[in-house]
Amino acid sequence: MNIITDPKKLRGFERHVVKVENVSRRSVLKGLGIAGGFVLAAPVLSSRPAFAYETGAGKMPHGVVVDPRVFVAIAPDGIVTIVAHRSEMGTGVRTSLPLVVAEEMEADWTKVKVQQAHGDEVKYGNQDTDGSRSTRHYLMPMRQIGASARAMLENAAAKRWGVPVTEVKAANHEVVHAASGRKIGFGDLAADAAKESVPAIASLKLKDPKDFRYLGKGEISIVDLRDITTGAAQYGADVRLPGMKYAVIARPPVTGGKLVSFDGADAMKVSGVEKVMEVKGWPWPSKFQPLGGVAVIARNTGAAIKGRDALKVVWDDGANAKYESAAYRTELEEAARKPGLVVRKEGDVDTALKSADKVIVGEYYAPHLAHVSMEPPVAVADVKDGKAEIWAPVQSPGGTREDVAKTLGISVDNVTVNVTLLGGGFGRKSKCDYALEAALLSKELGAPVKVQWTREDDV
Amino acid sequence: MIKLKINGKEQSWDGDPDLPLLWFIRDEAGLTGTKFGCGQALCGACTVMMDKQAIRSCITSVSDASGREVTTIEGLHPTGDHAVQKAWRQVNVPQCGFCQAGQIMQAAALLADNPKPSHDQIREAMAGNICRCGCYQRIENAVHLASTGV
Repeated sequence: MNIITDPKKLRGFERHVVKVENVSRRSVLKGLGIAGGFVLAAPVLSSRPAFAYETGAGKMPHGVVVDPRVFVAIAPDGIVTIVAHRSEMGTGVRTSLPLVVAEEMEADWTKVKVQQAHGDEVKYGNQDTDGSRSTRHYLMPMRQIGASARAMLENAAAKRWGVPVTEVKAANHEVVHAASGRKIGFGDLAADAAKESVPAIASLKLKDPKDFRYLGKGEISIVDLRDITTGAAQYGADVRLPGMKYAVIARPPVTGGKLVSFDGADAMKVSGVEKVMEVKGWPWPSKFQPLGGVAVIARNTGAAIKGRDALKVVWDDGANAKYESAAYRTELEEAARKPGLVVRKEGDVDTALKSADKVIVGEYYAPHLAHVSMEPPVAVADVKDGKAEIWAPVQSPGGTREDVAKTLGISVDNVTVNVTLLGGGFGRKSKCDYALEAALLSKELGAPVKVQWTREDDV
Repeated sequence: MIKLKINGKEQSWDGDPDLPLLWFIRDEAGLTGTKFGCGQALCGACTVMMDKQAIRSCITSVSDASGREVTTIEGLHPTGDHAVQKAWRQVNVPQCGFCQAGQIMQAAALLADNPKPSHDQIREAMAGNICRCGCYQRIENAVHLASTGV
């Protein structure tokens, strides 16, 4: 047990407070309201700068985008906005990746704002925050983005002073010409820097790690720290829209089952319940599509849950009606003992086992497990005039955007996915069935809808 | 008509008196800092204070709160600088953060009742608040720090 009793020995995490903004699409379109600055305004490029090293990131859908104009904005007042394009679920990635950019571009972290990207993989590259990939795949691209922005600022300063770029150096939010003692702040350089061409990745000079001011020092708190401690941090269920309805859904109790009939009369008698309606499901195997069922729409979540308890539903349990855990386990064990597909072959196991000093034999079995994030799945959707806007704790906002478009039969250009904080993800929230449920219900109701999963729905 | 106070503000409710206080707080009063985790008082995410006592708002009805003073995370301190909140930031407690409002309210209620709890008392009082990220050691350290002065 490590109990810290001397507050003086604690690291002063509150020294670096950085604001985080959850920006709706509308304000993104307004270009952050920055005029005359280095603006988040990159055209979507038909060809992208080559990725300088191989992590597998380039093979992910939509690959990697290394372009400071996509990820960095500098306002004339010097405020640097850095986009977090991955989803925050407790790993700290909404802080760490922007911090990498700030480190390389020599930005002062206290003058940085972090902005959560909405789902747009054409613009930002792959956003599927799954598989413990964010740091592995993005440490280097974020360094390159930062170094790129730094080079553009240095080039702009050198031009203004009429000196060789080799004589100037960015340091802590300004560019310095040591020979003459001149300095100019990032904000003053922003408009000129924006006119510089983006350097080729191969030409970038990354910082020597011994010169890092932030990375590896353990002194920076997560950008959401203060909001989390005051209740202001926004998770999926915390989104509230005018006229929004609250929904919970009775789903088939057996996977692969489907709705036969329902009687919502008693549910409608529950105070606060406004409507009972069928919600579309996908046939077995539905994989990650909504399971379908009966939705109860109410003026608050509590009424919707109480209404759902009062539903009378007849289900057809389908092909898995006779599923038994014990029989399933036997099946798995039999399958595991048959020769498998060889996907990787290295060394000689038989010889190694024969020559081993000690051989330990064991069998391990894991039952079905639920992810059980503290925050159960939840999503808000507003579908109207052929467009859909989603607010949800999703690990894959780009995938959500595509799936919502497909489900509603509209173009991805007409779908906006806003990423809230995730109260844990664990891979469950890579699948966006709950956002699809909200989209389907919102379309039918013609009103914004929040679909809340209860703990029992999740487990 | 049920009347109660939330964070010092008068609230009234003429709907279902059995509505869990949690949903009244979140959906009707619009205070979303208090979280829904399980609905059965098993996780502690929905913890608020009612007359200085920590309660699970998911199993407390609005009628149970009638005439009472409820404090949520938003009302714990006018500028978010209650000793527990400051300690939380000092120790850098949260990861995903979802359980934290409940943790903080539980800790604040403990310190209101027992300003200098022992480590065993801290553990006992906080035992019903689950953190899926596993920040327990930092939670304990932060409660201790709050009790000794931030």
